[in-house]
Amino acid sequence: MVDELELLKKQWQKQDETLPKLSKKDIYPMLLKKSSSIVKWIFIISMLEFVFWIVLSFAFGGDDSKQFEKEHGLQTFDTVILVLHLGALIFFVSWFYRNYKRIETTDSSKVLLENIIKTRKTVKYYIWFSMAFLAVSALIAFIISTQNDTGDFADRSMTVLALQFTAIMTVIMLLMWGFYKMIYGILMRRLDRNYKELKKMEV
Amino acid sequence: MEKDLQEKFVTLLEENQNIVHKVCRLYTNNREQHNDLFQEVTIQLWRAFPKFRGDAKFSTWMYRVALNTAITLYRKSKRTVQTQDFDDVMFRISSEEYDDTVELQLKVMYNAIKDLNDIEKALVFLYLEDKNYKEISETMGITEVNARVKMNRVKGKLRKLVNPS
Repeated sequence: MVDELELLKKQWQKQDETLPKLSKKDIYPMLLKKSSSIVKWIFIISMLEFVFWIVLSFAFGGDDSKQFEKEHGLQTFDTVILVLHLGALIFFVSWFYRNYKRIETTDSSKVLLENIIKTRKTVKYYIWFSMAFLAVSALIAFIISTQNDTGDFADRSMTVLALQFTAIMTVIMLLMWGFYKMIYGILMRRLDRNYKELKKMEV
Repeated sequence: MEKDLQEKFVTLLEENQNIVHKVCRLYTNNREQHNDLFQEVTIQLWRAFPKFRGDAKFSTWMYRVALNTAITLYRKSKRTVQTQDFDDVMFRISSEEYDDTVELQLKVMYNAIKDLNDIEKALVFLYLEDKNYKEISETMGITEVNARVKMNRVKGKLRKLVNPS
């Protein structure tokens, strides 16, 4: 029986004359072009995600919110939260950068994929941390502010306030998580699929 | 210094460009994508070149970077229209050697390879390039035994596609 794959192999090795031929003059300008690799996009988007949380933590620093914090005894708490969040941010960004620097195209495909996925996972852990941190700090802020209430919440029952708080927090969390998953999917779908395929070979 | 390095790199790439073109041919569907992938592989090779110590063959090193770029780094554009003559060109020189039936079978086999997933395609590519299983396993990051087992499965899958009965 004719083995088509062997025939194709012979044919494959004879295709050189049908391949494009680039001269040195064609290659030189290529070295100056910018990469559009997925790793570059992962870096840019991850940085934007870090920036998003920094902006978010400073977004509530306006005059109105300062007044609210003063009235409800949240000033110390707010400072503690900011310091903790910045500390965590430095930790996660340096962890991300360390993993990012390990990405080398000269590694085997499996190691390369592992390192890219590990780098992106650092951002996932940061998002998990930030969401948990936001939920817990919002809960503590809610409790402190209702205890130190000067009249804003007096006309509403505690149960209604707690339910409103839970509903708002749930919606915010779901939106953030959904948005993150969507970006993760766009960036990583192909890489995850290829990594799974390589892992499957080990079974 | 930088100029010397650049000159050395461009010379090596010019001499070995066929490796990159063959990876591009297998992983893309039209001339535009082929050029995009070639460009990206060139950037990745150039970035990694200062660390190329020369104890490995430049071509072996290129296989790894080119395949890794095709499998992981390259973002294929949405324009996946396959141009008619893009792959046929490979078979033009075969017409004198084989009869029409064999040529058709080769085309079916080639199209079946192009439909494989990225990883299977990389295995078949290295096989077509006559690489041994040691080199295949080192490039892919799997054991030699697993590379052999997977390759046999892919061969079976391809033969079934070409000879369904």
